[in-house]
Amino acid sequence: MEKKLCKKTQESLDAYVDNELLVETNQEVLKHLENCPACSEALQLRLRNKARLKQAVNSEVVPSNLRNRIQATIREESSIRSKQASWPRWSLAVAAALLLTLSGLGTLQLWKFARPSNESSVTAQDLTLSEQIASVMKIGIRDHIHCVIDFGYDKKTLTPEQMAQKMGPEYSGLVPLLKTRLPQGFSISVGHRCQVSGREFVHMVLKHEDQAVSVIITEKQGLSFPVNSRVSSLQVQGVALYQDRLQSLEAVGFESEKHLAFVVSSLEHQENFQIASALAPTVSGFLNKL
Amino acid sequence: MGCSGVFVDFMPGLETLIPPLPNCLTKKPKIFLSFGNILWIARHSTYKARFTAAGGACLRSCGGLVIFAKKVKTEEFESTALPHFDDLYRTAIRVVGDRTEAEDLVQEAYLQAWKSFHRFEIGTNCRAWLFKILFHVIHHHRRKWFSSKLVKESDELLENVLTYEPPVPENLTDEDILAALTRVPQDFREVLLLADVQEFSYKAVAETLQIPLGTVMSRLSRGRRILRSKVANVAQSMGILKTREVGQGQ
Repeated sequence: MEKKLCKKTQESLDAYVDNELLVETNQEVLKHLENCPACSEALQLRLRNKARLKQAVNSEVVPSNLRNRIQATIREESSIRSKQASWPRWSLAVAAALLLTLSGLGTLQLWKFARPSNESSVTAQDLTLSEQIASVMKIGIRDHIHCVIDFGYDKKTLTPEQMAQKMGPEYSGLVPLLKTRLPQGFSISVGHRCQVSGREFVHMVLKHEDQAVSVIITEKQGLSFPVNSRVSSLQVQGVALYQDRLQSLEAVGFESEKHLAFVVSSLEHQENFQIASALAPTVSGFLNKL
Repeated sequence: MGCSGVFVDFMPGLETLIPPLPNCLTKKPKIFLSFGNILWIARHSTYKARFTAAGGACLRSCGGLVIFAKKVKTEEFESTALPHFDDLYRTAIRVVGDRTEAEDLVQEAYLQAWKSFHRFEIGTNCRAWLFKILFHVIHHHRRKWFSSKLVKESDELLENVLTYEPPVPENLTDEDILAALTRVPQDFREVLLLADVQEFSYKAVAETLQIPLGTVMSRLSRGRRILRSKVANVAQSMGILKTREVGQGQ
C-alpha cells in the first residue's frame, strides 16, 4: 500500500513542484510527503535541480550591443513607416474613391464621419481629464501586468511570515488590517515589494479561486489624480475613487497625502469597484498614519 | 461637437480612409493599422476611457461612432518589449546552441513583434507573446535549414536513459549543467527552458509551443529525468561522480 502511494506521489511530483496539481491531489501529495522520507528526498532533488538549471541558464552573459542593434533596426523600420505615411494626398483620394466604389453603404458612412455631430458625448475637456487619470492609473496597471500577468504572482502563495519579511516593517501591518475588510471568499496570497520602470511598489494579491485582485501602493513622487475631476471620481467615506479601464483590466485609484494606491483586476467593473470601495478607507487611513 | 484637433500627429485626411463598417461594430471595437497609425473604431463613447488609457486620442466622434487613433510609437514598444530581451536571448541560445544564430533569431523575433505590435493587447502577457513569436521564428528557421531527423529523437532511443534515476552531485558548475542541458533533445529542452527557467505555467508553455497540454506535462517530466541523467553523465566524465555510484541505480 505504502509503495503504491510512493509510486503515485512520485508520478505527481513534477506537477507538484510547478504548483499545477488540483487542490485535492496537492493535499494528498503533501500529506504523503510529510510521512515519507524517500519521496520527500525526491522532491528536494527536483526543487534543487530546477533552481540549479535556472541559475545556470541565467548565468549566460547577454551581449549588450545586440540590444542596441535591435533598437536601431526597430527605429529604422519605424522611419520607413513614417515615410510611407507621408504619401502624397492624391493617393488618399484614390484610396477613398476605391472604398466608395467598393461599397454603396460607404458613401453614407464617410459622409457621417466627415460631419461633426451634436450626438457626440466626448469633449476636449473630458479627454484632457481622462488622459490625466489614465496616465496616473497606468502606473498601477503596469505593476499588476508585471507581477500578475507577466510573472504569474496570482499562482503563488506566501506565508504570513514571508509576506511580513518581503513587505518590510513599514507596510507589513497592512496585511492583518486588510484581512478584516476582504470580500467573502478572498484571502491575501501574496504581499511583497516590486519594482517596475524604476518605481518601487508595495503589492498585495487577493485571491478567490482563479480570480486575482492587486492592491498596489507607491509613493506619489509628484504625481496625483486631477483635483475636482468630474470624470470618473466617486467619494467613499471621504476617499475619492477614480476609475479606469485598460483593455480587459479594471482599475480603481485613490490617494493619501504621500501615496497613490490602486486596485486592479480582470474582474467585472462593478465587482472590482466594490472591492476597491471596501478597501480604500482602510488603506487610505493606514497610509495617512505613515 | 466632435473632438478632432486634440490630437494632430496624423497624416491629413487619414480618417477618410477608415472603411465603412456599419454592421461590424455592434460587439467589439475594430482595430486597424494604417500608415503607422493604430485606428480603433467603436460604436459606444464608453470606450473613450479605455482607448485614452491605451494612449489613443479621439479623431472623430459622430453618429454614435467613436474613432480613436494612435501613432505606433517605438518608445512604447521598447518599454513594453525590450525588458524581456535577456530572457529571450538566454532561451534562444540554449535552444540553438550557437551565439550568432541566437542573436539573429532574437533580432528577427523582435522585428516581427514590432511589425505586429498593433495587434498586441495591452494588459495581456507581453512576455508570453514575445516567447511565442521567438519559438515561431526558431521553428521556422530550423525547419528551413535542418532536416527533422537532426532535431528529434525517437522515443525508443530515450528509453535507455529513462530506466533509472542516478544520483546528482551538488558541486557542479553552471557550465557543467549547461553542457548536460545541451545533450537533452530539443523538444524536451524547450519545455524545460519555458517551465523551469522562465516559470511559465503549463498552459502558457502549451500555447507558446503550440502543443497539447498533455504533451507539455509528459515532455517536462521526461525532460527533467533526461537532464538528471545527463548531469550525472557529465559529473561522471569529470570524475565528480564515480562510475560505481552511477551504476548503482541500474
